[in-house]
Amino acid sequence: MEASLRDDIDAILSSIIKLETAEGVHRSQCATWDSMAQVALVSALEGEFDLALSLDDAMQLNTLDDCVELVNRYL
Amino acid sequence: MKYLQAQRTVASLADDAPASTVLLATSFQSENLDLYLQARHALAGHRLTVQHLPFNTLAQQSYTAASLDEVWLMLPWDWLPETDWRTGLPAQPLDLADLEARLAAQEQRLQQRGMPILYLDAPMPPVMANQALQAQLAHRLREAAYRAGARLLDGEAFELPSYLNTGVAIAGRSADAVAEALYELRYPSPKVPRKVLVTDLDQVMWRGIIGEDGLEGIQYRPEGAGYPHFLYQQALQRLKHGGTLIAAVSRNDADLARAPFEAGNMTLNDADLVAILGSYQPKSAQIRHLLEQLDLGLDAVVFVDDNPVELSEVSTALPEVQCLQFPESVAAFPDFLARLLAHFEQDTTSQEDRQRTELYRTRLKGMAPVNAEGADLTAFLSSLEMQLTWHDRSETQRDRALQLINKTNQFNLNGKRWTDDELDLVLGQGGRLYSASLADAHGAHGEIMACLIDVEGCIRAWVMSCRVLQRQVEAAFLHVLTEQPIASETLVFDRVNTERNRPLQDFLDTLALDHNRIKRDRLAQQTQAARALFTLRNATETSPT
Repeated sequence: MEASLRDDIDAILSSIIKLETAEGVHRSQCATWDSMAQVALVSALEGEFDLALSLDDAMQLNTLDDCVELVNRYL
Repeated sequence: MKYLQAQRTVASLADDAPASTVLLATSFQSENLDLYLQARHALAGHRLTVQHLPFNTLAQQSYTAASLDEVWLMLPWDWLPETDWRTGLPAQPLDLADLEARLAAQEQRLQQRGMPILYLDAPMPPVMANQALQAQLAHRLREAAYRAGARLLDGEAFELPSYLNTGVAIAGRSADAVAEALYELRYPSPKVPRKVLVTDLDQVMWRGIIGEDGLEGIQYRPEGAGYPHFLYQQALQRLKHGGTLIAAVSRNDADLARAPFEAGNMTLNDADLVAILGSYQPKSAQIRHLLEQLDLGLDAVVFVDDNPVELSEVSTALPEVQCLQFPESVAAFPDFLARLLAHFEQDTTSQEDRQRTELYRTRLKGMAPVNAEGADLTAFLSSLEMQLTWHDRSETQRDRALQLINKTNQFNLNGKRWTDDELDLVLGQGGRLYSASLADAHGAHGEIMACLIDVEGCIRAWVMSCRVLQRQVEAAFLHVLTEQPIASETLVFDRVNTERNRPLQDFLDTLALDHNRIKRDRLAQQTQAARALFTLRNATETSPT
């Protein structure tokens, strides 16, 4: 279940930042992970998992681990 | 539709799918709708490119000449900028009388442009002197939208925090619903009413699966989970009285599909339907055959099913057929019912309309069985990008496999039910319990197949969920089975023909079995083509093959 969730989130994030995988990627070091990508990521996670993420939480997403942890917290 | 499902739906489009471009005209950031809008078009076989206006330039757009392919998604402040949360509250309360001339002028301008408009009735900041006047303003804006020909959408999809901070007005979890409404604006239901409603049975006409739950287990009464299905049957009965022909298609034995109607306990009975087809052939083939017998065109048909794969198969093979998905949630049911009935709206009902079902039932007497070659199934299956995940459940996590064995009737090798102790005995002697999960371009189907094979190569139990019939997954599964470390070079099927397992019998009859035995290499050869339709993933490995 956990692995599947991580795979799904990786699929979402990597498609938005246009990389093969988001494993090991940090927002501050990724040119394609800009503010528009951040907005798209939040909307995509909300659409995939039927969530309403708070803005504070959404802005703290810097890695795949952050995304998995946040989605797990809301689910 | 969820985000990843939308991605897969768009990705599964054929390279030569017809393409179009639409301008999604909004005053806010609406790029998060693109994928869902593209997926809605992809379901109908169309590739879509979405263009946007520069941020906050919608008002200027209303003064330009209309493009043929644009659709507007408006908010209250697109009528009156003073009501925009992002511009703050006006220093003085607004006076509706002062605004009337501007509203009327914009109504006229938008009417003249004539483009499709979706009006999102989002909450406004308090710009009027009191709540009563505020409500009056909201009412006036809805009225303006209606006069401009807009379709209204309630304001729940609006997300204020996101709008204030990023300019994105539609919440991610509502993006698909808004995209669906936009798609329907572009492709509204035709004015010519459809004549035939073809409906699935399991999980649509009733809650449950007749082949597994039986007559007593399905729900269709006005209580609990049966309520939407009760209402659906009532709607169908009303359509039938108005002259619509109702037909059912189902992946079941014909007598099983017919049984709940003949039992006489449901709102609809046998005489209300012009035909009840039970077959394991593709539904597109069943529908085409039915329409040939009725001598009606495919553009007369609305098809309802709960399964997106079935809907996709029918819409791909028969693009003229209007496909509607029976909703998963009760919350979505009112909208589904309204859209369904809209396809059959007519002004008057004649005596002939009321007798139409009886007239056509007479015509259909002696209808031949469905032709197996009704659709190009292989091409369709290839487009599904099916992924089979193989599990060895011999040691752990065997509950779902055992449950599947003990619940499944139709694709079941012998109908035998197994206890934990009996299973332990076979596994203790060196037998193996295998299962498989299936996923495709439309999403995951879960663990859908289980097989118990003993140490001597005898397949003691083998079942598959009827949800995934007609995908050749059974043949692919056998191919993978031949590659497992089984001592015997010959596999034996412990087959028993039961009243219910016709799909299993039909499949085994396609294999060249000798008294239910077959050499492993021969079986591998016979199932090679089916195996090629799937990407295989071993649950213990990470990369697919």
